[in-house]
Amino acid sequence: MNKFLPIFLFLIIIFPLLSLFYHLFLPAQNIWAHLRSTVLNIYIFNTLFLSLSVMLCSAFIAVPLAWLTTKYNFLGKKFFEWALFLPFAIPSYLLAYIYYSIKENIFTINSYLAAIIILSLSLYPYVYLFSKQVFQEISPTLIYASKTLNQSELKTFWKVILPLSRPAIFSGMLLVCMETIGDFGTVDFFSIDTLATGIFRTWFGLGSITGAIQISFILFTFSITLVILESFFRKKMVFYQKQIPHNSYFEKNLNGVFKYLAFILCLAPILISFILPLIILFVNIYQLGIKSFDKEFFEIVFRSLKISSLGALLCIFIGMIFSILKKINSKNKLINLYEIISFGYAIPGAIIAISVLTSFKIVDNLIESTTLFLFHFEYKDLILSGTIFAILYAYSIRFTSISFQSANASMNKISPSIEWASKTLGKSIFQTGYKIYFPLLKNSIFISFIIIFVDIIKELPATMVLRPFNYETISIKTYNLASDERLKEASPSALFIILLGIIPVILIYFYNQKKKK
Amino acid sequence: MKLKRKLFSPAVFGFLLSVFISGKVYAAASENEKVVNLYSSRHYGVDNELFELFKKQSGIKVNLLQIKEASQMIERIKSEGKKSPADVIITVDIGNAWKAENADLFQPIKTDLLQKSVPSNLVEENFSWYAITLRGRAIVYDKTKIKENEIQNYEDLSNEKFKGKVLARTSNHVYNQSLVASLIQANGEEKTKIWCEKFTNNLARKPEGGDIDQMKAIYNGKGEIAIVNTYYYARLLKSEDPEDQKVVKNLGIIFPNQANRGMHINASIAGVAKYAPNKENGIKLIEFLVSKDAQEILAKMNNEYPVRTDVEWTNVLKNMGKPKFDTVTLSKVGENTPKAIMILDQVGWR
Repeated sequence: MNKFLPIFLFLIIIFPLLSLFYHLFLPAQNIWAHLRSTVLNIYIFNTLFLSLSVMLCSAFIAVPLAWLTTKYNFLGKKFFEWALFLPFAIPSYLLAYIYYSIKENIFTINSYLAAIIILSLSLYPYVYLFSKQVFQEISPTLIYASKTLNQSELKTFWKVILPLSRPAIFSGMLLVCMETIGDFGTVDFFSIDTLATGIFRTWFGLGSITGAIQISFILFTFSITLVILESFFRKKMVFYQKQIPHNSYFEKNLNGVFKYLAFILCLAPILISFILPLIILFVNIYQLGIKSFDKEFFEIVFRSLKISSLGALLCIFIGMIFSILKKINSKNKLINLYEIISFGYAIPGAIIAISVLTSFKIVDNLIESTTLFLFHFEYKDLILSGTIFAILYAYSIRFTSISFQSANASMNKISPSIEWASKTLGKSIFQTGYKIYFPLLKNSIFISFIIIFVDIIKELPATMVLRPFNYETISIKTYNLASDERLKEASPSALFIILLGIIPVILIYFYNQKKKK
Repeated sequence: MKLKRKLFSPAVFGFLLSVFISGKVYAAASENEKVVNLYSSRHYGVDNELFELFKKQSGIKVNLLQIKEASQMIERIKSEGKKSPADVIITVDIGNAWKAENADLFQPIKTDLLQKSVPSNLVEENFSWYAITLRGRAIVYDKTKIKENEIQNYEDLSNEKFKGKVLARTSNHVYNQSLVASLIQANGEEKTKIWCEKFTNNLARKPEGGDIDQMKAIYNGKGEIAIVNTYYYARLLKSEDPEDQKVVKNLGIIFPNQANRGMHINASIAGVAKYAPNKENGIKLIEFLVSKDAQEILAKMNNEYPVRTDVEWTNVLKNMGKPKFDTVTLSKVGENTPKAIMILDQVGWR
């Protein structure tokens, strides 16, 4: 049982992805010759250029801010600590629409630049979150040591802190990169041709789903390369971190000009990518009147809340299991296999939806022929297709990566002796998991909950394609109105995407406050 | 402690099971109700109001699954196969209708009422689908800078005198793809490629934003001519927002190709699904959508042209003028779309 169950679960998650592989061996008619001779180079160049720029830009915004809010004390620091994460709740395409709508002239700047700014501003919180977490765990003694050696603060940051936190920062940047290469809404709006827009152009326009899936494998290869790069970095750096220091005594007070400078530095990104858009939405809603908030509207809000929490819990559950298995079987060859779970994040939601449809078809056919053969009973209804289960399945393929990675990161810091002790006491894998790992991983579970919850709130293509009848979510409602160029009417639902996204951020904040006490 | 442990795995399985069941229950709904299952790629609020009205008139509830991108909707129906609950399929744009027809998703339907309501050039030749509304792909221009008679056909937009003056959204959008596909049908591939090349050279900027954004760009002096859908222009005309009124004030509209094949149209179509479990209700829904009541509401709320000839147009539509629609190239648009994309890629209209 212990060996069979995880493999079974693993196969369930991986099965739809495998169904895509089949398309790799199909001929895509003349599509590749056409793409190669025209747009493929542009797709690849734009994707690389955009993802690298956004990665660097968001690190450039996030890392200094995380450092500032961790190690220094200044006006509004307590607020900024968590508020800097808030822009995460705004989908980047929405940010693009909002800014475009208020002043078209802003974007007389190059559309590449506009897309890079918009994407960086809405994605930097990934890097912020990861770097903040690692900065909090760095022992102050290292910094004291550096000080004793007469090094400046900047040099300490550069020579001591940054190298130590590189793996975590890189993990955040990796997520930013994957989000960027998978982004469709923003780049399409600025008509930058990337592999992601190419997938849809090939599918919808050229009418070749096989071609589209093959392009998405290029995306996939990018991401795999990045994941391998990251683990390469990780392996080179071993964390010698035994105790997690209590760091409040270490916060340094900023004085004079620096106090105000820090305040402005922290306020700027929140102002641009959160407060200002929010004000614009409020103004729109004020003009629309309160009538848009009817009973149906709140049904939609609650539905989104429900499906996002369910989805996030499911992903965390699966991610935890695999992370525990990876830890326990670390000598087993299977570990490399488990890493495959991470790759779901690199596949666009629309393609995942297709993979889920394909695998449901196979399962449905299998059940039908089995029941027909065994009981001479013909099953008339679809069993899996068009249920909430279908959506949750797609979410767990796409988002388990987040909880898996996050749990792994924390898991690596747990000494194997704890597990050996548990084994010695005759506990099973799952007992050990529940009793030992679960409590130790609480923090990482919380963080992955926020990220996955918000990601699902914002998720569009897979939900749209797989949902049951009469199942509108808040992001679908927003997108439908926005894509019909009715931004004003889209404002109420856009506002609620953001509000729902804030809830877990605030919850975590209070959880952390409680813990500090 | 032991109890807790015992509860753990059942709790997990219970969780998964309840997730599964909640999905099933949702899909099953109540069984006595008369329903019609609609798969639609239209995403307009007005449709929901129509379905309410339909329920009031016929007692049939519309179960709506809206998937904006028709190709995705088609994949879903294809994967559901013979068990698909779909009764009626609605797509926007004729190219998408062709894709659905090509995937063999429809069954032919012929009723007196439908044939009386929808002109025969807006019905698929095997009666697979019926058009329910029309929108035109028109040309708008800055009245202070361009003379009305300077542009008469889409073909004129390739004229070098408009260099740096033309605005359009990206060619990722189906409206532009279908327009080019209709040009291929009218003028042939060679000529269309040359047209696209020259048109792209005339663009005032790299395509960005939607149709309304192009009209705003004219107002902001970034260009003088744009290709937009009629219903966006009508929406601005009707809008009470002073910002919108400013934008539309100096805009004139041209219905292209009136002396020949007519303006390219973008039709929403409805057909009965091949394996429809509630076929009769499905037919009723389509009959309702082309009824006088429904057509009037569609024209009034969404500024779309009715397919019925006996429905009076709203003032906004009337004031824009009465265009001649291109129904000649209509049937070939879907087939030509891949060719159109290839040309667009080659000439670099993003």
